[in-house]
Amino acid sequence: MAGWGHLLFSLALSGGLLEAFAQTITNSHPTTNAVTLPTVVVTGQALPPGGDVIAPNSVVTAEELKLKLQSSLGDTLGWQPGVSSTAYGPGSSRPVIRGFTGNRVRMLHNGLGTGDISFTSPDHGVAIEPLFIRRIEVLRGPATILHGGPAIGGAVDVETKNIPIAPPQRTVEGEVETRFASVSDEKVGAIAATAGGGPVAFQVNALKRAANDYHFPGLARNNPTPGQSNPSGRLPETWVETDTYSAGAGWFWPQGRAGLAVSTYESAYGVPFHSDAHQHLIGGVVQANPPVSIALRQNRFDFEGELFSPVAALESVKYRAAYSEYRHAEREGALTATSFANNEFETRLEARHAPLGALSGRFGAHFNDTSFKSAGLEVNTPPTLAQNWAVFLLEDLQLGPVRLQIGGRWGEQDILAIGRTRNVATNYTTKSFSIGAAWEPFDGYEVALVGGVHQRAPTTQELFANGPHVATGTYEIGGFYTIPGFPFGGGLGLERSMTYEAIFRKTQGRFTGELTFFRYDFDNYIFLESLGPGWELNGLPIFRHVQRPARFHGLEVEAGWDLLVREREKLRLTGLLDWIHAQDLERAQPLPRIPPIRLGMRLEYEWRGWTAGVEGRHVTAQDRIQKDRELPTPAYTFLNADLRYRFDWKHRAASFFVQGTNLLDEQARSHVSVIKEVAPLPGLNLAVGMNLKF
Amino acid sequence: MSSVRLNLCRQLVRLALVLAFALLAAPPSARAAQLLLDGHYDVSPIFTNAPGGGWSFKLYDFATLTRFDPRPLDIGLNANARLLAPGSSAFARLGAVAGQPVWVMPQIQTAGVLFFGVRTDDVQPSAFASDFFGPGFIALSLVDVRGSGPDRGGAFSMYQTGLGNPAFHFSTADGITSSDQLAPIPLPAHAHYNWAFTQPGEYQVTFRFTGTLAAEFGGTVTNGLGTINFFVQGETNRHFLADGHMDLRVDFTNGAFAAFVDADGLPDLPPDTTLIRGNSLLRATVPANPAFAFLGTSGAPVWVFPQSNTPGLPYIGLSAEQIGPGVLQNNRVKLTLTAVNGPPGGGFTLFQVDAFGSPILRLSSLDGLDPVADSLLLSTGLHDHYNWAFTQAGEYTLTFLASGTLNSGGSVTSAPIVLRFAVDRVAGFVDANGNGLDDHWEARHGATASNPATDPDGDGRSNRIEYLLGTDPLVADAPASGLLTPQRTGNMTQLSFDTREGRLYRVMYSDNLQTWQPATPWLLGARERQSITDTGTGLTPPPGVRRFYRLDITTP
Repeated sequence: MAGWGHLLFSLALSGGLLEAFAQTITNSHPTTNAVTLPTVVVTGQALPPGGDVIAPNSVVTAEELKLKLQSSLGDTLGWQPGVSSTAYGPGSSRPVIRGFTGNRVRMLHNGLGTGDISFTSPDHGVAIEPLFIRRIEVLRGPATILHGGPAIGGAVDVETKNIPIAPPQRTVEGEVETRFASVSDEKVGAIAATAGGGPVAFQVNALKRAANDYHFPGLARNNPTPGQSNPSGRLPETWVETDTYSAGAGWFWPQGRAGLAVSTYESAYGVPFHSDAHQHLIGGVVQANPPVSIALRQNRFDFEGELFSPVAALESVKYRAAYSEYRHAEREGALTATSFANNEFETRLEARHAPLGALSGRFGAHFNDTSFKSAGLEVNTPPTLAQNWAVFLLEDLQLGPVRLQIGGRWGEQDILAIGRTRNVATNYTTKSFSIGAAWEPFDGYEVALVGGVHQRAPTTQELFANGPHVATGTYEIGGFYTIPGFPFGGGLGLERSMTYEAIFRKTQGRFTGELTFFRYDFDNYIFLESLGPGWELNGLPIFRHVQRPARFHGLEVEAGWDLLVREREKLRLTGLLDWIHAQDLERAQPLPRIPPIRLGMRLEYEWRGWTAGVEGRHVTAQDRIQKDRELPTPAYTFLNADLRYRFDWKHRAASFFVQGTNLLDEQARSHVSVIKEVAPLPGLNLAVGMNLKF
Repeated sequence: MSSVRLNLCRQLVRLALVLAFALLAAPPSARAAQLLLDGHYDVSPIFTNAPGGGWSFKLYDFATLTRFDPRPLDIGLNANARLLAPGSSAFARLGAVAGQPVWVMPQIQTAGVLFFGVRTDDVQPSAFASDFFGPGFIALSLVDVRGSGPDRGGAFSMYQTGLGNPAFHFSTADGITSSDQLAPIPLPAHAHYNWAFTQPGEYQVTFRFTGTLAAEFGGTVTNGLGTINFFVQGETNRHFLADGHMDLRVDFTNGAFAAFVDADGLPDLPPDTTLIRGNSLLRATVPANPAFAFLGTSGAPVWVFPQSNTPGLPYIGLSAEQIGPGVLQNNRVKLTLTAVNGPPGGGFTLFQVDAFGSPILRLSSLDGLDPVADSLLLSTGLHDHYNWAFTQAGEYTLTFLASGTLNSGGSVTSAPIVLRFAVDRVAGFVDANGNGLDDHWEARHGATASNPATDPDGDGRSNRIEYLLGTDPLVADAPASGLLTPQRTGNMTQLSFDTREGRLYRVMYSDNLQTWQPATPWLLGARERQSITDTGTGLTPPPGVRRFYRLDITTP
């Protein structure tokens, strides 16, 4: 916190200098387009270009994010249709798509993996700062053709500003932003600047975020045991401090562009109620657990190049590569109890071919090399070396108003797990195939059907875990382990699924919307099953990875209605509904942590530079629970309101905003959260902020 | 029991524990097979990979933090653990129908009930350390469950309850199958279970622990067996009738029906504390004569207490002979069979055979029970004899209702009359090898205890005596004393003693140590304290007379 004053001073100073500098520039930044964007843009186009997936997807622009922004990506996207958050505290929450999370939702940074280990545990943060981004694309439903088996639930692709993708319109341009949130005394200061001239651009970004433990109404624990503390007021260990820096450069020429960036993401955050989940025994005596926090740091190097029509047969070729070094220490008090290291190199080559009659599409290759290891008290997986590579193809055939799409992906996953006296190598070949059709019977209307057959290879954790997983409060055993003669373990097979989607879209007119029905049939869904509700190891219940038939189905609705449209004035009502039903078919019981039905309504009024919105978000109770794993969760309703004013200030676009969330200060718990029984969601929050583009 | 064998038994094992009142009440001697009824214990397999190591099997006492051999001990469940089985299908693997008594040691601490778990803390972790990653594992399998509880049809199960449906890991309700195993159990882990039993008696539960040794110890699979003994207290000592003439007699006194077992030479006995036992002489086959088809298919085994007096078998009648004339309308008592509980597949039929060999069916549970068809009329002032037929060996309880219409107006119905039978099998004493020792007792104590004549612990008592006394055949314990505790208050004399399952007890008295008289009928023990109070049977001596008592113990 010592550097906070310096940061504000620096930002103020840089703003002043930039202001003086910008006065010498004659062309002002256009601002009028920015204010007309709706909150959510559904990018389902009637006749999208070849190779764009038919399956539902949402794009969140940078402007929209101003009123959605939270400290983690999961919380930021948590009210997209079909998307919720793991709600494991401000430092580490990750998106949950259609009830899938972890290794079934692929997190992407500029089209490549994030290089972190957030998929392994809900208390592991995603190494992406959501403030300075260009856009976030959320692919709901299977995205396995483009991104592999781990995208069976969907993918979230965060396009950051680390690499400039176009020359700046002025010698120096960018934006600064500060914000304050009352619920946690959160303070954020950030700057992103692009400088350059001619074919060259340079980008620097910096951000500092600091927040205390957040406030919440009521008592933290739902069911405290006798003698157990039950905090009120601030939820312990929900503080977060983040520093990110990046520098990048881009080179542009008429037939292409290239760019690179180096970035550092550092975040330290508390892990709420971590100490509830486990015990340390010394001489058979349970030791008091100190507060637990995580400090992570990722250094990342990105390269990106794109060629436009390099040969007649290709419209474009894009190449991306990233290398990241990720380090993460879990601290108990001042001691580092467990540390993790993940080095990852990933590269992707993708080309769009020129239309062949009515046929258009893209194809590519994808490679990932990962080295992972961990050490300390709570290690639960062995060191691993993993390689994944794949080729894919996504082709469209346009037949009048009907677009047919087929896609396929063939991939290999090799994992070498480094054991105590021996190593174990696994190899899985995955194949995924999808077919879809989109029909536009009338202008602005579209009906689409998509089906797919997908395979996902089990992860290191699902195969080789053998130890405590304190974030989930379990002792986990992978499917690899076995005892001769006993019917368990011995490895896991590919997780196979068939998926079906039906999408109805209205994309033009005052009323727009999208309705999606989906269904997943898993032959052998991999999940954690209790060894028995009475078994424990050092206080942690014992779970083992098993495969069972499972089914997910549900629907997502989002709609918007322009109630009033005049010049520089607009009144729009938007709504959202999603519902998911997930069932373990063998045991005929629900799967755990499935989001309940959610309803959301927002009324937004724009007048000149003002935008005011009021919204209600209702999450129904969830009583479809996995036996022995979870408890029902009551319903809650959040009332939110926001006001933003955008204006030109000395030829720059500036905006102020104030945002109130959970105005009724209602105690709420997210059924999706592992820690929902002890960690309510934040209470009443008032956030104010300022953004200045220069 | 044949008379020959009975005499042999008595010759061999009669315990002339003669006590003068001058001895007063001595404390019972330390008895083996101590019953543990409270505290916190865990099953604790032990494995060490060292010379002299290997598997052993202990109980871990959380109060003293000590480990001890489970063989001489019984984990006990008494009335505090008695529950009624729920109706939910989720509990089907209990092996009990809704409302049936079930004895459960819960997985949570419960006042008055022993808290019993499983721990693997004493398994040397390095012995099973994974050569790959993390701690090693072992597996737990249920191998065998035997004892008087299972012999009564009792099921054993271990299950855990959480937020949802119970997880049954082990259950004998559907036999012991490959599903009665649990793996992988990481080392060291700990668990508590609901340990459920559906019938009273002893359950010797044998588990097998299995693990793959660490590579440095050979990497082979190793198994360790261990047995935990449970005892469910739900039975009571019963008068034991194995021979001679007896009736189920229905009386009508003070405006109500009452029922007794009226055995020759004995005082009236309450039916529900009496067990009528028939030995293998009961066994017959269903005749080819189609008239006997109500008993089953021709040639099928059937066990029949005959309507004629047969040496070595009870000769059982039904009687209303103590109801005077004119009390009941038509001088008739209606006896209705309302329930038959017995071994799986077991049914009961009551019939008579006329002078020309034709059967007359009176009652039968084989086609279900009907209040009209399964009732018969007894004539007051008379008694009659019947064939009591059972389709399976095992223990049965028959429940009757007696009813009648009073000449003075109104009708009267009795409370349920429960009559118990041991058909060719007495739970608590199984002696397939005919050596006079209970086979389950032999299994529990091992081969050295299987010869009734030897004395492996050298304490001067043969295995046969050790069995009858209930002492440990493998521990040179103190001579039995104080087995029979006398107490006199004024003119009231009372003798009490502890019983063991599967043994018969009878108190005898003598004034000269030469001639002995029975003070009680034979009692079949059920591991409870039995008190004999002078009820005019001569237990209390006349003034100035010194009287001696002894306790005879034998096997059924």
